[in-house]
Amino acid sequence: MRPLLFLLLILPSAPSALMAQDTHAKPHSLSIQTDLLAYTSKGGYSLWGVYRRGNNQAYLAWVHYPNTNKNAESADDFTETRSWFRLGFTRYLAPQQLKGLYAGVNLEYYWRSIEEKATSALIQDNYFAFAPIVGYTFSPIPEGKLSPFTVMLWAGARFRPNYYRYDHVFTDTGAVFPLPSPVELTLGINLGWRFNFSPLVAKP
Amino acid sequence: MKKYTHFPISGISSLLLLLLLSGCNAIEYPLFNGKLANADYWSDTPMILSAGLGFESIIGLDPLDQQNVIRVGGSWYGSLTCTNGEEPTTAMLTSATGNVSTVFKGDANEADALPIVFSWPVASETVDITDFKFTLNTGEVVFPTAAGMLPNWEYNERNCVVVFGEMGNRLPSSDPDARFVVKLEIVADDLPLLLIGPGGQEFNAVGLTWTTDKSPYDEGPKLVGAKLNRLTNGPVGESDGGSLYASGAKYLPNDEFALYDEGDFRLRMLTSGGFSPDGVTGVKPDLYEDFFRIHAKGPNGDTVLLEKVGVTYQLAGGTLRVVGLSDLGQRENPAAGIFYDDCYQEDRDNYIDIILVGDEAAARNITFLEIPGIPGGYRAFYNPGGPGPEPTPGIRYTAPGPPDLEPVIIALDNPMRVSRDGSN
Repeated sequence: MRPLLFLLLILPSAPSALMAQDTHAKPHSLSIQTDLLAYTSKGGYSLWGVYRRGNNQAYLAWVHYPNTNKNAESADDFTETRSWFRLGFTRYLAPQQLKGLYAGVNLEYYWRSIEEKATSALIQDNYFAFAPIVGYTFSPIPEGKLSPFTVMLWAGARFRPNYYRYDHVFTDTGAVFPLPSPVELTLGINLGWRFNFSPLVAKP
Repeated sequence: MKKYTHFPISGISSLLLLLLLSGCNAIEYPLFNGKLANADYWSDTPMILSAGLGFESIIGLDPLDQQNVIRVGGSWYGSLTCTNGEEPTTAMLTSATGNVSTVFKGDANEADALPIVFSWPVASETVDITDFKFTLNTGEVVFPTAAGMLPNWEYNERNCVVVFGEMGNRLPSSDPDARFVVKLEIVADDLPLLLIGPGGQEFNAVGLTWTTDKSPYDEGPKLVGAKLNRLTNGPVGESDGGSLYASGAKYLPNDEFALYDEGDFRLRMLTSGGFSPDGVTGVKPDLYEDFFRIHAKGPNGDTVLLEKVGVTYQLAGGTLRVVGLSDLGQRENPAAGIFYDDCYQEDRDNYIDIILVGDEAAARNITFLEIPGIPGGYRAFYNPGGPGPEPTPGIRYTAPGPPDLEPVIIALDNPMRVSRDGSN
């Protein structure tokens, strides 16, 4: 029921980001990106499709991140693997001053598995999260054939509603995968290639 | 002129609203999530082990201050000073409580308290005030106004549900005007109370009953179970409860691994009510000799009493030594301001552990856990309705616990524990 409530509350607000429009030019672009941080775990990867129209931007990403808890205390006893869809709605804030600066929200839906190392027992669950984020997009080589190459740096705080549901008990041993934090740092270093060469920002 | 729409404020508002909504039951929910991790069951048969009135009128006070506590008949330890120099908290000065609605289902206003102890842990998602029908000695039938898992919230506990309501007065049962609970019946509601037993089996508790003819102003709390297990690899289920309490509770960690550098066996006792030396102050880990002794078979078949901490006793099959008590509060650590004094913070639940070191063959010869009580020359336990160190003249407090001899279940072969994820 709560995931449904989540969607009902969030989705109506999302189109407002896309509908917020400039009064004239609406350049648009599509880029394919990947987040380098996904590769910091063996077997991890991410694939993003980012659509920008005027100063509004939306993206859909799939991220697979094995061994998510590798730096946590729980890593001694458990292996956590998360995969998730990320739907993002953002808007470029000050196109005249910092033309690459944007803010928005990520909405995420997770498929998670937790393996107890001692027994190989597996628990799987699903959950929603959301993250207000800020980011900055730029083209490191603005001229020439490599000008479509873009870098997108972003960070935010990821909230997990009802996070306390996500501790789990392994019934064979009584081992408890510990309670997660309700808030996590979320960030990314995206490299991408823009296929549409419309200007990134409308000129005043 | 270019016109920009601000980042969607309505979106942020929705997110904050969502966060607020999702956080509304942030404290209550984990206590009722149905999870168990190595929780003990105390019998092969599901039953109610105790359900007598605990104490009267000191739950849900507003305000929770000295004047109001004494007005309703609670005890207040006004002269308390802490060895670490800190100001005592209200919880150190009295067992009375303020608002309970954030952690219990329902509410309580100057209410009585009654712990219900089951032989099997409960599926906490099924606990509600509508499960418990009480009959008083006067024939009145009452239901509680609040029910919950505190203070037995850890995943390896959860045998005991505490309810609050108007369930009696302070007169002893011999008084013709006495009012107290004489019968509990588990009754059907929309989500019937479930107990979780061996192998994770679920038992519908509707129909279970328990009766008594005693008031807590006749006699205080006693043992309803004692069980010997091996120490496992780490404190499984300890301090786990999915609760916000876990991260901030100053009495955690309180398991045997945190308190002691040694231990082979854990003798866990299950009590009919909260145990306190006086009703207000906490039990300290070094108080074994003040309250307990263990009976075991000696080399010649005679009974050996394990009365002292640190003494190696020769038993049939080998030796055994008492290390101390645990599942109370943190290890004494003067550098961190933790002293075994009257400000010591412990979990005040229905479980206390005795940690033992020795031979398994000797441990198998443990027979009873005894609380000799005042008649035996020992100290007695009181529930939280007890007089405290500074009782107010003219107020009747709950009585001291009686001498008690509880058979010890040897759970070395079958640990008699159950786990349950209960996430769905």
